[in-house]
Amino acid sequence: MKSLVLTLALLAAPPAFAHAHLENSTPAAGTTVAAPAELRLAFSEGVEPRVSKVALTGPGGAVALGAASVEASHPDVLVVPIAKPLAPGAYTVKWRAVSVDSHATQGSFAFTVK
Amino acid sequence: MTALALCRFAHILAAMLVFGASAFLWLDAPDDLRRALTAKLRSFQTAAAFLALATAALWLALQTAAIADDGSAATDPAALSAILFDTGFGRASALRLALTAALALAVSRSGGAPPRIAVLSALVLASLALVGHAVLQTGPLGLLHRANHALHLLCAGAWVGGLIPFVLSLAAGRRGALRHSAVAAMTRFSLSGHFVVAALVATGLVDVALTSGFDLLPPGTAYREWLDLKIGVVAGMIALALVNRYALVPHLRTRAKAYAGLIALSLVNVALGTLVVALSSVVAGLDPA
Repeated sequence: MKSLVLTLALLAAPPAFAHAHLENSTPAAGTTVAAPAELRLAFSEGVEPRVSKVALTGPGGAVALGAASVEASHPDVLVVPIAKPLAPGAYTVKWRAVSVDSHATQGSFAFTVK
Repeated sequence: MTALALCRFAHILAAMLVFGASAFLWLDAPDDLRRALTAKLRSFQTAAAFLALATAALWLALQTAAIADDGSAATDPAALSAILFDTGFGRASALRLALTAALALAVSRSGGAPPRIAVLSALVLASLALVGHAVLQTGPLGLLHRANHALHLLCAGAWVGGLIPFVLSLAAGRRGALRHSAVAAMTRFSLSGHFVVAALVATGLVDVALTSGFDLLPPGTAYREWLDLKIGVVAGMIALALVNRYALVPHLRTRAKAYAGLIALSLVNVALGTLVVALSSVVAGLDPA
């Protein structure tokens, strides 16, 4: 048994945990950036793009976003296109992610457009 | 226990009982005993199969509400169809609804032949590996996690569900025409039980390793505490099964008390098995990290 577990351990991909935690994002939290064309949220595990939700609010209120998607090679990165160029100011991203094992997690972060 | 965990518990337990009982009737029981016990277990099997069907539907509704963080989503057709068609959980739920419907139909029609019921309930149990922590990985490791989890559920079902006809066989084996068949069935169940329990423990260890990402699970989390409790109860079940097999069974012919004790302790193991399924249903909703 022990040797089986060890063999499996050698095959192991990076650690997998069961709830989708936000690992990093583009734009990154707390940074000042040029107006981005999309939001990229990288989670600790695969997410369901159709039922995960991302909202962006800025100086002018809620910002229109396109449909969220994931790339086949990166099921853990949620990509959300931004419909129109962002005006300078402070923005807040609120997200609610549904992981592939159907747990929901949520959070928010802020960035500034120069 | 949340409504979602309670629903998951009822669904998994119902599927396990149908599977274990029908696998015993199919693989362990000689013809005369199979006929007698199939008739005796018919209403039990029917109730469990319909419970599995109802809780498959309820699970979809409750999971939709949990994902949306909104209780009213459970009855909202738009929210339900978004989950059903646009998520892996939804597609697996659709498959499980179809399988449990076929199972309920098979059980209620002419009592259903044990092989058909055993195969359908096995598929219901295996399809549970398409949701939850077993779908964390993709690729070969993901396939291994799903297959391992399916095998784990089948072993658990074979054990806990098989104990029901086992206890009925004990009662039938005490006297009368079914005695020989009952002893033969119990001997087979007991012998194969050693391998089933060994596989249950092995697949349980692999499951934990794959869910934790081959890391030691941090102590002090709710996940770890509930999992430790579950492992403790399973250890107790294995100890009881060993007492049954090696302390009580050798005295069945000579001591009347051994009979009563074996029936009572087997039923205690059914109760403990039920508790383990309940604990697993709670653990399934917690974050291992």
